Amino acid sequence: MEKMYQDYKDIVDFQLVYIKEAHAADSNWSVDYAKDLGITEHDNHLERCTAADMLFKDKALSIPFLVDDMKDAVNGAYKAFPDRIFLVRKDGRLAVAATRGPWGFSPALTQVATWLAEYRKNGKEPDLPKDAKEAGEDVRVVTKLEKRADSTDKAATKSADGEDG
Amino acid sequence: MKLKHVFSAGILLAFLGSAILAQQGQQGNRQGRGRGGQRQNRMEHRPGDLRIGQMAPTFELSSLDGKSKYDLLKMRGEKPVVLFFGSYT
Repeated sequence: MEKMYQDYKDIVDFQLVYIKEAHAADSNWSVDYAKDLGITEHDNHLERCTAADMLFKDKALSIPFLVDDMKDAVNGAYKAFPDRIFLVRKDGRLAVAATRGPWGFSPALTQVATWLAEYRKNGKEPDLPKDAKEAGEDVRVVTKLEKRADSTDKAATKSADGEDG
Repeated sequence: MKLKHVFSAGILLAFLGSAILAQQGQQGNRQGRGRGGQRQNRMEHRPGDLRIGQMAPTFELSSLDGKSKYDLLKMRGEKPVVLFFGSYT
């Protein structure tokens, strides 16, 4: 993932959307390393940001991170939990839409890599497959942007519902 | 003689029963009810999942440091976007 970002960040935008924990220490699906790291279900935005910080630093990532709101609005719109990959064309249509979860992640990563290589080689986006779905409705997800409680940047205090202008 | 007929009928019924059960088992596996089938089902899209060709829902979210915002809509016509969704755990 990080290598892909480094290889293609000049021609493609990459974002990692940090969503609710898949195996939080206090969940029914907890894993040992979540307990070791002390990662529990996020009770607030700062806890979600703190967990994202840990991933970002521990894995030495440089890919840009976004943090889903506490209503899990974007996760809900993409049905992304526990993890999922999408590739969005310039026209807004999906070129890759993984099946959710770890079973879909690796195959989709391969699909994305193939698409990116073709895009680099030909200088244009690969065509959608013939069996692609119709574009359908253009949905706008309503999110609530929250300021990090430990941030001192006043510019970060904005709302997605028009208050920020 | 009568006992011999009853015995033969019993064997025949047992054979037919085994054949029917074996066929049902194969159909079950094809429909994803077996162990391997469960894994295959996990790889399939579920109703309501976003599919290739559909418009990606647009959204606005804060960056990790909270100092900037990102709007997927603003990328229209600019660059393709790869979205990774996940968490540490």
